[in-house]
Amino acid sequence: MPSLFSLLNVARDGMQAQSAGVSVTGQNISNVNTPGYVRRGVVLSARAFGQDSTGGVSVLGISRSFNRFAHGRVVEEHGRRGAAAARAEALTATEASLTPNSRTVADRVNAMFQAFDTLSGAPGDAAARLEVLQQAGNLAQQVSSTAGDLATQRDELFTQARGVAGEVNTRLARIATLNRAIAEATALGDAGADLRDQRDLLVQEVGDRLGARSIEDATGQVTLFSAGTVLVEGGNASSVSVSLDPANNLRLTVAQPGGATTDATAGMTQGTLGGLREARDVDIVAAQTSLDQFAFDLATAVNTAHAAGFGLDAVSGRNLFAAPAVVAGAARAMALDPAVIGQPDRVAAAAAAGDIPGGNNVALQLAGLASRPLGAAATTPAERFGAVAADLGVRLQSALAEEQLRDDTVYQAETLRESAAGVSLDEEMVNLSKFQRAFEASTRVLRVADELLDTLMKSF
Amino acid sequence: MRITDKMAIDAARQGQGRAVRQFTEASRVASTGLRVNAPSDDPVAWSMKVRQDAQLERMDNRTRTLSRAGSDLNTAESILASAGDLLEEARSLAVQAANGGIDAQTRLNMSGQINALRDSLIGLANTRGSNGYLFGGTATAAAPFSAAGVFTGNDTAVALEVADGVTTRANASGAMAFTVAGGRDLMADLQAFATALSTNNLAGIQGAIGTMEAGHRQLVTAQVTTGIAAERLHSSVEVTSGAMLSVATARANAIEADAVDAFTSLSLTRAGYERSIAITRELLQVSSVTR
Repeated sequence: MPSLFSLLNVARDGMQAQSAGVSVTGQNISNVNTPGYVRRGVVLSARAFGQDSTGGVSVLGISRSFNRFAHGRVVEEHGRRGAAAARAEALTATEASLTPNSRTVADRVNAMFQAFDTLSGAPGDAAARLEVLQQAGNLAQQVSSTAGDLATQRDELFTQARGVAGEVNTRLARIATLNRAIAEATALGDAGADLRDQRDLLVQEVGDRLGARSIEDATGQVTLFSAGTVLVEGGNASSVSVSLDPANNLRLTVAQPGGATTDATAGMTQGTLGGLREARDVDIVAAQTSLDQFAFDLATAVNTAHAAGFGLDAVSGRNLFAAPAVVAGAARAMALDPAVIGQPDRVAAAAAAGDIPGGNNVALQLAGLASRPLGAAATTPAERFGAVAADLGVRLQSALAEEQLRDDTVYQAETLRESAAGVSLDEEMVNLSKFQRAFEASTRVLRVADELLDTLMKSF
Repeated sequence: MRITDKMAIDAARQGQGRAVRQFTEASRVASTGLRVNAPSDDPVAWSMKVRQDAQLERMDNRTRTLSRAGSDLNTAESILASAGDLLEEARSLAVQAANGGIDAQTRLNMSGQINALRDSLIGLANTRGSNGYLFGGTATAAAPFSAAGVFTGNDTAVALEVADGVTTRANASGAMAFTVAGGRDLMADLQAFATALSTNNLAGIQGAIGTMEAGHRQLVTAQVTTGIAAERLHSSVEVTSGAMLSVATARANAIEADAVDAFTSLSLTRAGYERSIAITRELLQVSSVTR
């Protein structure tokens, strides 16, 4: 039969347990805004009441309301959103380069053909000839600078990708360190909740940058998969590096702890790196290729017509633009032919030397190029450029839609995880009151036990 | 489902973010009047805009070029009318000089008048327009007729585009108007007439009546041809201007925002944004922490 003194132990256990409850509640409240924090709960257990025990309560431990499935979904969705956001951001800059608000390449094309048209009406006029050179030069410069901007953007995205790879490596190393610490804590019987919070947040951050999937083993350590390979296994972390392959495309290399390296480029589809790769090596390359073809076809068409005509100096066979040798790089290299720079008399307008200076047949042909299909395409020069820009517009539109979709799916996944792991201040307020009342009641038990003992002592 | 504070705040933030994005977009559309500012706003509409911009630029420039050429043709037409008057005057003098009662001295004096008329005709034939000499064909830089009345120009037509791929002659033919290419060499005929007068060659003088009449008809024909060409250019300008209006309207339909829709959308999104702010405020006020 339990003694009166044992009642003091029951009161002590109660106060200790409720104090632990208040502490855990305080911990939850203070971390309500801490990223990655998973709410805790105190695990209480009643002591058996019987012949040899006075009953009471004991604190078995601190629980962590972690839903691995929900967390996995969050990491996965973060990877997808990271890719969509990075691609959309990169393509927004590309669109601004390709179609600035002031004057686009299409506007410059129109201005050049307008100058040819003016020349056809006044083939001997020096001002009209100067205008042709001015507008053709402006067009060449804008096409060239646009191509330069695209190339610069690809360089910048490469630099950005290397920076992101550095961020990934920092996190991989910390995940491995935390894995080791968690395993040690687990071996000592500690859940290592704080360590797990930090590690799981880092896994999510890797997911943001490269996409990630993790599997936890019995020791509490996670194996992290990303880009189709293992990046962290237990306490060992690989490191990733971004370089350029011979075709100037991004290459992702993973260096394993043992020293072996693998090419994980094909798996680089998720996270910021995946988005950067898609924008840099697919979308912008498509714009570059189309712009090169456009520049090549336009320069060739104008040169063909121009070379057939005669300048005021009765010389024929001159190009207006520097003749592009190959399609690749034609946009960047687009420029006026050195022979005509500053030489308006060399602009060809007449079809025969005898037609100088009033003959305008070639000027008419040059002006007419504006409304004729350019190259193999069935579209006019301005339409060709419009198609280049529209193609990029479609890609950006798709990237923005994908980003918005992923925002929503990330929100849903985070809501699911937060529902299990998040801190509710309302709940914590109730818990605070609950533990406070229980603590007060335990102190009451102590007082009663004390009074009973006092009564008992005074009766002697 | 458990609802935590963060979920409530995230929901409010998500909704508010969407509301502010919609409000900002509606503000942009309302303030610029443009539905499409960049290819990604509507790639198809942007492509159409590029095509229509090119069309508008081309047509706008074409109207300027055709107007200027039309103006030159009108000048040429007027010059040819004046030249016709000179030939008419020469014919009158020929009729007078063919009168048997006119003495040799009077005819000699009249030859001076004819030489003056010939000089005037050469002056008219060497008139400059906005793009060089009007009657020199493509040889616009030098006077097409020498002081002796020799034609140094050519009859090459200068064509201009009046529609995509369609051209029409846009210069007057000095050769057809003044030289044997049109039937009579007017300068030579006047020279011959003056010579007949100064040599008191009655047969030559009588013959000059016919050549002056033929020359006058030649100039009238050239004047009519030039007038028709000018009219063709002017009507092309009108047609092009009308087409420009259609293209401009189509462009506006493709990329511009309807004002009513834009301002309705602005009001709706502003109301949505305000409601979103109010709800967020309410949400943040409701908490058991302060109780």
